[in-house]
Amino acid sequence: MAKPISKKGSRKNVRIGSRKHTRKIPKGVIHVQASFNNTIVTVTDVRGRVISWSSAGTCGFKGTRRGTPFAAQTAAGNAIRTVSDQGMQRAEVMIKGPGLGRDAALRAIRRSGILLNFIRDVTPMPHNGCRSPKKRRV
Amino acid sequence: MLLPRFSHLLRHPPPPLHAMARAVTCATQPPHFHRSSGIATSRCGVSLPSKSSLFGRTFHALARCAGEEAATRRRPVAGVRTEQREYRKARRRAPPKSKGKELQLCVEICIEEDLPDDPEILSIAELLRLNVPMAMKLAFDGLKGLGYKTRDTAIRDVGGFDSVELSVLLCNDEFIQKLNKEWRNEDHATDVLSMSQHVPGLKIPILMLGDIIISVETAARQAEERGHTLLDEIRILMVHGLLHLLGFDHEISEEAEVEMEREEDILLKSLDWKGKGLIKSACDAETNSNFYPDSSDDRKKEGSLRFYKPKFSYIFCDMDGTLLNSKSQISSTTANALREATSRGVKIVIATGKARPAVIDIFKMVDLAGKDGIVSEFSPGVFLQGLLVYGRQGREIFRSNLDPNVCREACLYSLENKVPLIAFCEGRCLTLFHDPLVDSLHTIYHEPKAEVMPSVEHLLASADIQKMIFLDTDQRVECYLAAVLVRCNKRSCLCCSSCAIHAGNCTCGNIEREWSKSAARSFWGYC
Repeated sequence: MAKPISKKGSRKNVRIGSRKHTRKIPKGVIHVQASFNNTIVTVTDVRGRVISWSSAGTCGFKGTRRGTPFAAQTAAGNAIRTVSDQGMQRAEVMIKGPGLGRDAALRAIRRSGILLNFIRDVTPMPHNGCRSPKKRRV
Repeated sequence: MLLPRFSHLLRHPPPPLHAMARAVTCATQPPHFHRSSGIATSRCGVSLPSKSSLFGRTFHALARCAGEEAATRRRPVAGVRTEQREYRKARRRAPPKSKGKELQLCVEICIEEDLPDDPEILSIAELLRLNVPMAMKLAFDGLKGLGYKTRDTAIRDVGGFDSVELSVLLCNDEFIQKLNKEWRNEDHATDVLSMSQHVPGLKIPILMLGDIIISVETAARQAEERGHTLLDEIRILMVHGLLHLLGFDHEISEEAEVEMEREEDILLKSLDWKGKGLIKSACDAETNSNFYPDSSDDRKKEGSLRFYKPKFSYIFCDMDGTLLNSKSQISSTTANALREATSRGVKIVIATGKARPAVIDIFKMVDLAGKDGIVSEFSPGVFLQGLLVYGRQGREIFRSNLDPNVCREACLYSLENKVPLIAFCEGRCLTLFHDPLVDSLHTIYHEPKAEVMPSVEHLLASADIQKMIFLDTDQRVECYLAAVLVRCNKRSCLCCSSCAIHAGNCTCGNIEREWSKSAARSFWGYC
């Protein structure tokens, strides 16, 4: 008698959860990809699935203005606004790239109200050309 | 048993909707073409999306496969509700893929702000707008083959993206040295830097490869050493940087070096670009290092300022003792320096005590006079110690004439003491009698030939006088100076009171004498 009752209960819970159509994600990761000509801000959940993203290009900036700090700030603001409305409260920030927009995007993320666990610069060591450093003297 | 399946299906519909919306949003973004502008102070950026027919075919095939699956699933359709839901699921997946048929290659070629508008660099940037997407397409084809063991496979298949972004920045040695110091802790300039911004596992429609930074200054030097053009060298550096962004790394092992070198060779030959890959060039350079002269001079070589913007817009320049040598001529070295400055957009304005015709005459000897030259009747300048100043288009903006009474006294003094006098009247020189010193003013110093006036009144009446000088020998000038100093001592002149009473012991007098010997002009012109 006890077992059938518990089975029915679990089924009902599953149904109720699936009907809501809204998912609340309290924690996430914000990726900032900053090149000299563009800045892309992507927000994912802790498992890596993309929740929202924005770039200077999608915000309407064209040409040389895509690489400006203002464009990066706008892109970051757009990406963060979506996840703030969905209830994200904490995030980690991963910054990659040397572009002019990295500081501006970071400032916009800070001002959004999301608590930042840490900010990590994951820019890899850039690769050099392949020239011998000094020519040998005879 | 049927109920769990039903509830499982209900969970999945929302995510595809979001993905579809994003894909549609990105697909509606139209590509934009921008040409590099000629504005000197702003950074130039070029955006060129390139469409690949090959990727279009690939997506078309995928669409067909999806269609076939849908057709297959239609057959077992009966009255069962579960199977109907599966059918809908298949439908929703097809549209985003079909809309993302062609992969867009967004390549931005940027010229760093401090790089001047060199026509060769601008044309190279225009060519790169077409060359870089071609190289990217070929490089992406190479990724499909699984023949490389040492490549980092973070970037595997670009088919899953709507667009690929790459940024190419042309700069000079100073800029790339800053980057090298900041990001690699190496305080020296280099030829190319590849800075990756790719985040593995990030499922967004844009694949952000990163930046390729090329120093045009280093590239020009290497191009000269290797015997090909600057464009060829920049292409080689771009291919090298692109392969780094795609995961190749020649520094981790010899096998990796061989693989990257092979891929460089394949790309350059497929595109029919001149030159060897960078890895091979470096090896050859190391082998033949005996043939390269080693210059330890810190001074910048001739032409090395080509990739730096001038710090000044105008140069105001004197003539005597500055542009002129001891023969009152412009040397060829000075003329070349003036040409170099002019070609970089620096404007040169002459500020001198000479008359304007004298300056024009001097510049004619080195082909720098005239409307396209440095000085002409239509260029600004300061002449006659600022007593005649010309502004834009050579129009007069200031003139200061001497008092006629002072001129009359000077002329009478010249006649009584037989000291030759020159009166400067705009573009003319007037005198009262002939003298060899007067001729030397024309033959050596290129001033206008002096016109001999019959009398003082004729000279005063013919023109307004801005400047007058007396000409005399060194010995007589010293006598005049001594007399003036004695007279000053008698009057207890402030500047001479600290000196000895006797003129011979006066240090000011010594300085004056030394000065008068070098300048064959009378003290009256400077008192």
